[in-house]
Amino acid sequence: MSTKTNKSAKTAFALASALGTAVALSTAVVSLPAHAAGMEKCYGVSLAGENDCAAGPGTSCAGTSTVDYQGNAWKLVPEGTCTSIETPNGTGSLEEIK
Amino acid sequence: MTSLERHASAERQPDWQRAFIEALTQPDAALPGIEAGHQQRFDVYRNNVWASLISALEEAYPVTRQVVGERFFAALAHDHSRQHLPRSPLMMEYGAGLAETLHTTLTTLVEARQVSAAQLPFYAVDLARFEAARLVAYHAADAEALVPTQLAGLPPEAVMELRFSAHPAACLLHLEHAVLEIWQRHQHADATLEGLDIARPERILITRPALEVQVTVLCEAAALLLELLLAGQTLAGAAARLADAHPEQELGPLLAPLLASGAFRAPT
Repeated sequence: MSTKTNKSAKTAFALASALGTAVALSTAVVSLPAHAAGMEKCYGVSLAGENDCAAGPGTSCAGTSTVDYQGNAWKLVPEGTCTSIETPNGTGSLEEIK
Repeated sequence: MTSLERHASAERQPDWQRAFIEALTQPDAALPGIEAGHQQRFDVYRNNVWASLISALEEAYPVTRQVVGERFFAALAHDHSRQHLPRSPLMMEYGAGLAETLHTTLTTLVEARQVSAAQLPFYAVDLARFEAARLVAYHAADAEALVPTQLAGLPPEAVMELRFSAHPAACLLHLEHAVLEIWQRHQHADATLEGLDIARPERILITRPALEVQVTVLCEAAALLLELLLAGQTLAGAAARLADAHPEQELGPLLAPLLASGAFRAPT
């Protein structure tokens, strides 16, 4: 009984000390703004495309060629795969295949 | 309107509405019953619908697009939008499953032997997951994050029983590639991945404690700890499980980044 109590007390203190470490470390890393003081969300300047109407791209007749891709256009492979981008197995070379 | 109500009203759609939607999804279909002179206007409308969906995907996945190239992305977005009509009028919610479409597409290319797997940027699938998660976090509900100092000075018994709840914007991604650095390098136009070990698995914690989306890379043990805590385990319970799985790791330093990132909601 007393061994058990001692053990759990030990665990509790170890945990409390670990938590103390975590709190100290985390506040040292960054001071978290609980609520960004003096700031507010401005929906008008949110990231591009995240408004709730699709106005802008695609709303004028000028956009009529935008979707002129074949649904089975998968003969295309990603650009950049063989030029600027290194894959895990080295730089690709698409010319050999097609 | 709840999604349930939307669903119910979709079932009550009159025939002409169903026919309209059907014609919208067929590239060359005429709208049944339309006056001959108006079909061209409908074509313009239909085209604008698809163009706007593709455009929304382009704006949601700028780095994925940069990696796979504009032409490939356009074809991908075209296919994805054909398969996934918007479920919400909020375009910021559109395109959540693009990573899966991309994965299927790349796999199909490999199976068709058009190109070998090694030559395709499969890491772009993880990249798309990452970009989607950042958007979701950006638009998640606002909530106060737990401030670490709120936990200071708790009596040991209370520490044992401490439970955490997830901040609404918090999200943990298990990715197979070193996505964060890939993403960071592509913030510049002439990005190169030279010298980067792409195939390095990464656990990324995405949070938005205030206005800005934050990204924290977690080690395996810290990710496990986060998952245990978010699954409702007490700190003592999570610590015990952690000690089994990663006996060499100390709890304090693992918990610190979770507290600092704002992954937990402030107690109410």
